[in-house]
Amino acid sequence: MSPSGPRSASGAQPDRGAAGSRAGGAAGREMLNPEVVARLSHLDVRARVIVEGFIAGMHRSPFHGFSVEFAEHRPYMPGDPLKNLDWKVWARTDRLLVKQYTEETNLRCHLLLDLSGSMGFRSPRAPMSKIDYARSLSAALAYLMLQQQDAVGTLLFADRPLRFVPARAVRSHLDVILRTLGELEPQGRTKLGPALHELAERIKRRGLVILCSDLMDAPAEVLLGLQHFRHRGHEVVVFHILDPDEVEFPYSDTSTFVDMESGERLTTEPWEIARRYRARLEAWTEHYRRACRENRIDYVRLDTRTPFDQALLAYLEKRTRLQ
Amino acid sequence: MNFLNPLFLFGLLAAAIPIVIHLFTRKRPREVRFSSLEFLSEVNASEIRRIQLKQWLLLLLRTLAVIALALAMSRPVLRASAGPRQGTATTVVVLVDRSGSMGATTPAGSLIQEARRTIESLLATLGPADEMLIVPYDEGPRPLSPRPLSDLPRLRAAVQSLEAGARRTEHRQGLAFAARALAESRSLNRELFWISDFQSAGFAAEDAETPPASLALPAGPWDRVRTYLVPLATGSRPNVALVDAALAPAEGGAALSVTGRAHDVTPGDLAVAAKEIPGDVELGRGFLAMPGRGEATALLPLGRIPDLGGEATIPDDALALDNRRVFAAGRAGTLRVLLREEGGPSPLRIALETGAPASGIALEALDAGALPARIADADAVVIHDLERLGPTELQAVLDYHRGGGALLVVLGRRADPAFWNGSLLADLGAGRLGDLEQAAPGATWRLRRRAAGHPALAGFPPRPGEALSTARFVTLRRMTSAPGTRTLLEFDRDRPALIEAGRTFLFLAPLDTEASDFPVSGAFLPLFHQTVKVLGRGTAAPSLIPGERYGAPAGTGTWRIEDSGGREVAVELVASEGATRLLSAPLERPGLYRVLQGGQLRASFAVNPDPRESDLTVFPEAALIRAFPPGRTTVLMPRADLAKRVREARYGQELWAWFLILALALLVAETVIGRWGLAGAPAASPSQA
Repeated sequence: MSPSGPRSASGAQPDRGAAGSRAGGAAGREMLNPEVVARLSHLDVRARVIVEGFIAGMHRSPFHGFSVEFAEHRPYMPGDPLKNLDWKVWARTDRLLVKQYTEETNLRCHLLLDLSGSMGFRSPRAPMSKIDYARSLSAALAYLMLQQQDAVGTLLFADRPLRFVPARAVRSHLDVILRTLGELEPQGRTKLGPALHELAERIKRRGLVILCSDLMDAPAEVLLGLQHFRHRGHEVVVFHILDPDEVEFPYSDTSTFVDMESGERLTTEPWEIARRYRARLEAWTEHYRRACRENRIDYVRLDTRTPFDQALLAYLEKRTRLQ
Repeated sequence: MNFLNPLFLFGLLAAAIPIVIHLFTRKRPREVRFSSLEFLSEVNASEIRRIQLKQWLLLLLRTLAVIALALAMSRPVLRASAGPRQGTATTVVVLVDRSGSMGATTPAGSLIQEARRTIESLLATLGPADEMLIVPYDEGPRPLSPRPLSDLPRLRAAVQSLEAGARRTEHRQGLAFAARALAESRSLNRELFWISDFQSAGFAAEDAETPPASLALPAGPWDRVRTYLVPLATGSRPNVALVDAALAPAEGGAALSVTGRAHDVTPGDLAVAAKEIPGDVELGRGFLAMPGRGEATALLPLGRIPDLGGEATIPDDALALDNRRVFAAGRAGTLRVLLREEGGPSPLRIALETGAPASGIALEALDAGALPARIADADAVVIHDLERLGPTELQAVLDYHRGGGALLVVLGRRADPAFWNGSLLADLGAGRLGDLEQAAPGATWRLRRRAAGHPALAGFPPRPGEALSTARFVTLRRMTSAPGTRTLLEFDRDRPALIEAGRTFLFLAPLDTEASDFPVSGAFLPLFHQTVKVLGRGTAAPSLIPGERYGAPAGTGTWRIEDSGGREVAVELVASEGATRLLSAPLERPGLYRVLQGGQLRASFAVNPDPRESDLTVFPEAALIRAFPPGRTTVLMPRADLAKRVREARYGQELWAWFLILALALLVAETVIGRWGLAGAPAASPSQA
């Protein structure tokens, strides 16, 4: 597989991607469905399936157009891959020239994964838990980035940073990242603010920071942490991952709700408060959306049934802007 | 409050079900692990009071709904204040008016039809042990059965035969009968349903002009009787009645004098038509200029005098019964009056002959020899100022009088008091005749009315004490009237002028111009015409009214009375004190009747409704209710749901429907409140939280 840049892919818009869905595309889009992905046990397989499904959804061939921008020809040197020979030039001029491409990126991306207890929530209607969704999404992103020869690192945190993998652009780094992503289970209470501040201090070079979290913390502190990244020149994408039941709150019987982080219990009539709860949640997410927009942070709300291409497209759009 | 299904009251225990469910059998909450309780706690804290209030409210509503449902099934009734004792028989007396005014029409039909429907509704309310006595009444009670019946088919059949008559109303007679029937009942529950138009005139005494302001109840067990008044007439109604139609002399030949009486109508001209009976040939037309209230008279020129009689009609109004007035005419309708006097034609003879035959009086002057032979066929005999009668003559007059014959005796200048006191006056029991009395020089007597409301004095000044005319008398005959006689006219308090003693009238003054100028006054002719007619027809009215009997002196032979349709009326020959008299059964139907002797027409007479029945003024309902013991009278309007309202008035008002509605309303409220708060206000933004 040749190193492939994001040029043509980055120019693709979601509509185009949808329009490009043909026979192979339809099958590829299946791969983006969390229900399908959830059946795959290995994270690397998940990442590959998601990315190839995503690309297949955009183009007839997953690698078609995935080339770096052509820069110049140079004479063929022994050892160069034959596939890089420009056969048309050879046919016209009888000279062996190799096509050279401009390497476009030196993007450094950090995937921030929230491992707080609330991320372990999975409702019966959800195909996977929030943390599984976040892992799959992060793995897919890492895979895609490394395919694009971007440097990828990852940070796992709960109330404090738990794991940190520095960003590197080598393909073999994917294994490290995937292993790290699957290493820990959700634990502890969410304290996004301090963790984000600490991570912001730790990442020295400017780059792209992608946060996968349910943001179950005080919004003001979370936003301060994100602003810290912005302050240090990072571009920030927030994938706000929620469970369908958290959004829709479909409970009807009298229930005792147990907080997954604190163990706190609350018995109530869910259908009595559902509407106000939903309104409150909407107001909360809207607050995040507005605040992120004000801080030039990309905010993408996802629930664990949302196909992965939505997140990947958001990333690619961001990537395009960074170009 | 009572309950018709008291066993269902045990259903009230079901009211505990919602409480038990709420308090003890609450489902154990399902445990749900949730990502964060932050929002739940926040929303729950703001909603918890509403939820608790709502739950208690729902509990209350559910409990009340169950209670209301249980009460509805137990059929509660709000007892009437004087409702009957349950489980015992009820005697129901239905007093139903069938007088002429009940033939009045309404948009729903006649009042009597409404009365029939009402009674049928009442029959539907009878229990198996209950009994009913239906008492139609007009001038008197006419019970449909001798005693109360429980036989519903028989009662229904009796109700179907109920028709309005033509007689006048006498409410007190019917009420007195009902009171007796109720007193005789042994039932613990006694009810009187009084169905009538409650015509005000029906409460007036026989001779009274106006009805009383209140009703005096006859003796009866009224404090133990529940009375239901069913007024069929919604209120007083305007009406015009023909109260008189009689042939009258006119310059161009015959004419019909027609009198109409208005009761609260719009003033205006009213068309009157006269037709012959039988044959329906039109005799004449005219108009009555009717006032809003009061009488108007018109003279209708007739093309000819009908042979038997005719009728005058006006357009139909509220009461059709009185829009037709029948009159007898012609030879058969003319009174045969015999005059016995001495000397040349007297002013009295001239007056009685005036206007014949249209006046209705066929006068025949006889001498002493002819009177005994002719007197049997006379309708009235006038004896004018004879000193005395011969023995044969006297015997014939006495026989005639004893047989019901009518006499007008003028006791003037010639009369021998000894003879008259010892013969006719003694037989009459009228009093003692005295001498002639001359007025003091310069003084005169005037003829004044003594009695009110007598038909012989119709049209004269109505109040007692008023002078009949301007005529002045200087000579009169003294007489002391006996108890049992009635002085109609007088000269002053001690000097009677016209005395009524049975079917005999005594006039006590010479009828010559020396004794007075009365013979040349305007009152002379009508007074004696009316007196003779009233005497000759044997009744107090120009025509008979329904309920009266026709009576006339009758010789031997086969007598028959039939109406204009040929229907025979039962008659009998009554022998009394040597004379024979034809007497009919009470005449019920208005119309023209013929009297036949051996198949030969001997007389015709008319029967017309009593004018008092035409006043459709309604007696005040409040006065009726006041007459009965307080709290024992209910007014029921005759509508489709009468049976239901009777049951409610009898047993109380059933409330199950209300409780059912209440239960449904509570359940609806429970549903509405159950959804309360589901569309809550949007939550505050997190930055404000």
